[in-house]
Amino acid sequence: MPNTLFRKAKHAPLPGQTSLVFSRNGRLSSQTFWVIAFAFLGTCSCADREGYPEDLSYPARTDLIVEESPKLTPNNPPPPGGLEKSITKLSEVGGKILDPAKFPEPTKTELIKLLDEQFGTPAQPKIGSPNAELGDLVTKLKLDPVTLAQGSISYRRNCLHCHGLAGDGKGSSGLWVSPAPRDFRHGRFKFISTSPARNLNRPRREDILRTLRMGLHGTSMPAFGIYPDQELEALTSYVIHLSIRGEIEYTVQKTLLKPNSQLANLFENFLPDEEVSKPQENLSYFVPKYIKEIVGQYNTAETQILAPPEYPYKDSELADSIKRGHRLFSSQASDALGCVSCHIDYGRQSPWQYDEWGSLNRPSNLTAGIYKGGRRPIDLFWRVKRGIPPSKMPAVTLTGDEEAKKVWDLINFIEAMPYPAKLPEEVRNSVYGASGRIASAASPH
Amino acid sequence: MHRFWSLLFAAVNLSCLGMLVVAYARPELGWWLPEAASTQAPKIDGLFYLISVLCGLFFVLTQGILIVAIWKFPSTTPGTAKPIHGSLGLEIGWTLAPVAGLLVITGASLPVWKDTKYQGLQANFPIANAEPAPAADQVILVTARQWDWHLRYATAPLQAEGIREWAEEGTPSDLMVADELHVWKGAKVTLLLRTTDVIHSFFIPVLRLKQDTLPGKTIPMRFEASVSNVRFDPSQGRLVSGENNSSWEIACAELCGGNHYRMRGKLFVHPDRKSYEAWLNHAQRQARSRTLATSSPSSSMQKDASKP
Repeated sequence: MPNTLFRKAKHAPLPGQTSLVFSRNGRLSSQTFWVIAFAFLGTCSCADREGYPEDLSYPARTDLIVEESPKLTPNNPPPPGGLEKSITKLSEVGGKILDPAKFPEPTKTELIKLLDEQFGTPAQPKIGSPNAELGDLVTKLKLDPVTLAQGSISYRRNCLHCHGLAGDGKGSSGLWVSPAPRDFRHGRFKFISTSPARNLNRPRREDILRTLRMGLHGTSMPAFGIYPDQELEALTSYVIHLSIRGEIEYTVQKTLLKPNSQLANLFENFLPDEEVSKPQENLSYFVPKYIKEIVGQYNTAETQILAPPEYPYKDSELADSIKRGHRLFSSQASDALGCVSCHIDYGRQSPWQYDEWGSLNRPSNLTAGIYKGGRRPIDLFWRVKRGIPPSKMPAVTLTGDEEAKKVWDLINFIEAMPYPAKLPEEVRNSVYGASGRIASAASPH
Repeated sequence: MHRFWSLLFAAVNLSCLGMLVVAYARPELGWWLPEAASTQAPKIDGLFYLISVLCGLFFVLTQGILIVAIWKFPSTTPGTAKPIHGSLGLEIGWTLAPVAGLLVITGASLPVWKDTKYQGLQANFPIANAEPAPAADQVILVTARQWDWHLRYATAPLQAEGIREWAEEGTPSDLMVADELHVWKGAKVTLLLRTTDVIHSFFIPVLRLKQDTLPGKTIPMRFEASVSNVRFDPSQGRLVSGENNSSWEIACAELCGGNHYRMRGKLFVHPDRKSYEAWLNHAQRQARSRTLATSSPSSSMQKDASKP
């Protein structure tokens, strides 16, 4: 081993003198070098329990904002790692994008300052203090600084590498997975169970917890169900925190980047019930008020649960229910819901479509039996009845006395679809052809 | 070399030996082998001890010679060494002794290897004149993916011939669970290992079971657990400690990406079939949930909700 360190010894040894520490030419002897090296290695610490550095703050958003996704249905998704680039080209295919780099200067600094003030730093996150007047909503929704700080440590260990520091879905691993990890900054989630009344698009905490516990089958989101409840609750709170923070930034940038827009537009579009005088038309008035509005919506969402109707069937009635469900799924019958018009060939030939984040999705292949939002009947009920708003899956509207029966007919059909043996004969012929060919393990999205 | 090195080697060797003694005498430290919870485990541990003893003898011998040689003849010794030019006896000796040792190890390993890896293969690859695979009490399809384990439990009994078809198609009554393997003590379990993306490795230390999952393959493994650690209490609707208070881990043993080290699961061995079926019923009710009341599975399913 070449000993090139410590070329000059402090005291050159006398000729003939042998030293334990220094060798004859005055260099540190190799044995001492190795003892020191091992001693150094022994002091390595374990960084797994640490949180973010105290001096780290959330960066300002610089990636493009997709104001409107294209209506086109392209043939292929972008290659791995190509999402960012495909978003820059969205305007060429009929989409509208906005560039935060063009955000005017004094507003830009003011916005970041307000966000830091209201939301803290990754190491010390908080929501809406000072002056958002959230009162006890913060404790009720578990958005207090203590829970958020615990969530922040867990997030850094488990989620940061895909979902990114600000929850943008562009972490170092996140750039390479498909579908892309959720960008929380729109304030929208796909798999929700809240009622569509009042246009409430918020998730309940339970929806986020379900995703954390079960994962999203068919995507890269793993299941974290073996983690203790307390940690999952803290993570849910932190995700909501990132989402609210991102949404404020996104809302302000999206509104003010449009040509000819003013601060008054922010109030008109997002706080229509608020009485605003001229001197109050500024960001430092808007941001805390809007935080309060969003947190209020999350609070309302907790009680606006879409409750399923009671399951009306006995086991012996299942086959008929599946037949009726199949009719509802198709587009021919007069009362058909037309699901097959998007889930073409029962999902085996679904077209790619843009979602509101500018990435590509397909209506799922229902013959594959892989359900992102969960495979329990109640999960399927929520997907059907609530739709998936950001990906443009419409909510199924069924009214009247028949609603309970029809919705469970549809779900019974969906559940049976992956299993040819379980389908009644004419349904099986329709879904799988007369040969009864088994569905291949198709791409999960 | 100076005598310093002799002292250093002696000190390192003695402290390693000391740690070995402590590790063996104090199993609660977790430095030695974990507890043996399957019928296969004692055989694999036996191999481990055999190899350790054989190699240990050679190690002590060679280290001893090294330490003594440096001490007796440090580089400050006057004069130069006299090399010897070959010694047939020594060369034969130190070739044949390790060969004998290796043959002993091979002879001991082959039956254990056959028991561990070849039992389950008959279900998928019938070998002429081989004994038919014994029927399994439980068949579970384990799908590894970055970065969790998805387990599909067959809830109805399966014949050996039907296993492949079940693996391909599944049945509606299968139970899908993430990251939790439930078996009962004495059950003959067949696991079918798959992966949806990269190579993972399904590793349960206490069962001494480890098998890579390879893309494109479904690999069968069989085991029988011999110690139970939890039982399911239907009145509480959750798992409670059984005769043994341990938390047994499933780990991924093949580097598979950024969260490979976090790709963990838990092994729950119920004391008997009754407890397992009570859990199964509970889990199936959760999986068939059609009402709000049953829609919120919490980790009360876990034995100890406060530990990750």
